[in-house]
Amino acid sequence: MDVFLNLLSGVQTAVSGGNLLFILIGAAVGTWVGMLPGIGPATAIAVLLPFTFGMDPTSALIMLSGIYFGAMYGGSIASIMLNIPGDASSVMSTLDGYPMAQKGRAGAALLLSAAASFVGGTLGLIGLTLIAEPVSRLAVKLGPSEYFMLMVFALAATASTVSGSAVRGFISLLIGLAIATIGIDLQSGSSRFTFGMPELADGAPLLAAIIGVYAVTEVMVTAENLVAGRWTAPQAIGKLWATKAEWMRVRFTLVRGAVIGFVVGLLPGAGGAVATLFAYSTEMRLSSRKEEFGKGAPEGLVAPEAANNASVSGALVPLLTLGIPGSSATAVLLGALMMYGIQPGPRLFTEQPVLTWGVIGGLYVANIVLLFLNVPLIGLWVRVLRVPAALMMTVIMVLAVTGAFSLSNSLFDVWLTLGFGAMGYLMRKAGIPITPMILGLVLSSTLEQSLRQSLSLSGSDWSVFVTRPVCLILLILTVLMILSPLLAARRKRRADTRPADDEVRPDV
Amino acid sequence: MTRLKIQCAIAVAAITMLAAPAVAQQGPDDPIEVLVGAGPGGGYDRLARSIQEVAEEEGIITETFTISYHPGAGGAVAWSMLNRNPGDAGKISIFSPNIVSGEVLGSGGPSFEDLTVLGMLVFEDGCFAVKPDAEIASAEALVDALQSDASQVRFGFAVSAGNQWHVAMAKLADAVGADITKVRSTVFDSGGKAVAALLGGHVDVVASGCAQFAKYHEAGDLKVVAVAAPERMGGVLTDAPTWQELGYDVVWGAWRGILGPKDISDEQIAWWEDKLRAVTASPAWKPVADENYWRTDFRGHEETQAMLESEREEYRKALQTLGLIQ
Repeated sequence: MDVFLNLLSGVQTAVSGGNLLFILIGAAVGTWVGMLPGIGPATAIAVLLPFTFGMDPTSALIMLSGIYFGAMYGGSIASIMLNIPGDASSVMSTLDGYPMAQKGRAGAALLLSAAASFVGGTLGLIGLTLIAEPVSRLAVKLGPSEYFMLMVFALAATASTVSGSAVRGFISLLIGLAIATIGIDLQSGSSRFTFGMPELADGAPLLAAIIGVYAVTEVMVTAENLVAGRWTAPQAIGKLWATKAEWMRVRFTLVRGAVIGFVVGLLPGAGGAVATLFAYSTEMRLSSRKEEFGKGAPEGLVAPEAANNASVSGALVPLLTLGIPGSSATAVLLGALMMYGIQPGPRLFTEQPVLTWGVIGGLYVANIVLLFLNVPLIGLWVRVLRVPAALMMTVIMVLAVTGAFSLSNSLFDVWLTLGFGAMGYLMRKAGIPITPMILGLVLSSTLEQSLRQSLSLSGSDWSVFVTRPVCLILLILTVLMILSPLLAARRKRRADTRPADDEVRPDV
Repeated sequence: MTRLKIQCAIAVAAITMLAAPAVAQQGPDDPIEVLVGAGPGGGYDRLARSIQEVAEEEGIITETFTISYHPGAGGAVAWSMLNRNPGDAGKISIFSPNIVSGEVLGSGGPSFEDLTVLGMLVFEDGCFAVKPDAEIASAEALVDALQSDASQVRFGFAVSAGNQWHVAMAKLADAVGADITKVRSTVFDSGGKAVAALLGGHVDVVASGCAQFAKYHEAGDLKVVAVAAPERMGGVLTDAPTWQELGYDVVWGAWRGILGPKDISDEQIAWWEDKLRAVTASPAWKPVADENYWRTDFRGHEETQAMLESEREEYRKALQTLGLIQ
């Protein structure tokens, strides 16, 4: 079959002429850079892009794609070990990955995460190989109206990330939505909360918020605990590897997470963060052990990990089939292609088969390389827990400030990050969870802009949200998602008040 | 001994005087830093890299270029960083109509009058594209739709309200006698998303730089129905008529030039003018410009300054018509 022949020749391109070395370099550098707080795949590719000039475009793109994949593997390491996500798509991994490590299951968490990344990556690549073309034509049929309903659905899904008080989760979400209003409004050009500063014109940078509320806040909280003598380092207990029970629990999660990640990743308007959110909340809805989520459930780690690696392949679908980037990292790849003189468009596969199949083949190889790179290092990462907290936090602070500066080579972002750190600290003291705020930041601009784009295009006709079929389906799903905990609670209460069969009942 | 010293002194003085004119013609210090006001791969970046490549290839500029990225506010973040080094002709940036539309909208960031405009290089005329099998599939159909019921026309563009593509549509509406405020103008945050919306049938027409549409036009997925240029485009777009050919005087689009911080000396300005003029006139420039669908039309410091002043007025009027400012 054509496709397999193309894929084979792509793999051949990927392992010949020094490209294998580029994959190794890309994967290793990507993993390392992905671990740094706030430096996700998009930043990693942008920073390393200038080094690829003078390289053959195919080799350069293979290396950059290796970096992309590597950054997805690396982002999870910091999320699990330090509760500091590499970027928005690693945020969901902190929810169960970090508690798992704290409970002494760090090795298992890292292994499950590597396996999930591998499976997610592979399944996503199979999707890219087989169904890229027809799926991308379908994907463009989703317009602003559908994106709005998708974001509403995602907002409902953020409730699943909250393991404590629902009210506090809601407050956190509102804080995120409020912060997201900063910037020049897309539809009207008017400035909102920018105080005349051009640095705020594009809004509070998401990565500054992430570095702030995760890295800086963590440093502040740990410092406080250390000074008060409350700090205890977690010990690794039990087996270093995952138990058979844990593997059994996640065997379907791997596939579900990958599918969700691929499908969401290929939507130009939604990226890794939304993909991991949906994967996580789906697992939670389907699980019979909901109360474990947020406290170290393996499914809660595996689902977003599989999803974010699958979303890489998903994001490449519209880029390679239509020339439209599916995520911020692929937007940088698009820029890279244009700089090499290649204009991606609908005919990229036919005009540049060596390049496109070389990239896909390269990713298969990178996936395998990354698995072999990461698994042996798990023992090393687990030892990170034994580094004295004061030293670790100092290093993290340096990395955080450097990462914040690297966003636009400006100290302004550093101040913003520190400000977010202080805010995160206050939120932690108040018992307000951090994740819904970040999710609110991530979802808000697409949410608001899609609504207004949709209304603008429909002539202020609100009925589009129920007449368009995909919108209607998403609306129903959202309502179900909001109602399901209420229905479940009602069912539970009924079951509790009904007397047990073997209880003695008084004679009536 | 004294005579030798005097001879040496005279020799040194003579050599120094010979060197003096060379110093006056010397360019900025090495390296030249280009502050790109957007992310890598975008329009600003491509112009910066094109200048770098051609200048190096043709030996016009021997100083090293370094390119740094400072995205934000359509370029305003990079422009405001320039004035941290007043008088330094070794720090430059690329400007576009954002510099005047941003000033008129009050988005923050410096006015071109607070900086030193060095020269205008290229024009990126606007292309209007539709989906071939949609209701509006030709220039005539578009004009008809605008004239009969503008409120049914769904117009998409990127990247900010009131930018050159928004104004291009406003100019078209004005030329055909339609009310632009009735048109369903919708902003997308990237060119790719606007194209996706067009491919999916969510908008009827998109206006953007021609490079955005070239590949789709070639593949038949989209159709560029007209260009707002003085002459037809080359490459794959030679079959797209200009609006002037169709009877409507609409010539509008983006332009890009170079500017530096304030207080740059006249000699340095002249140096940049010479170099940039040479770059755009060199044989290596033409294929680069064609690839990007740029129309090269170099203008020096004074001319560009005057052009920006008149463009600012044009944008002020256009944005008032669009209802974006009072």
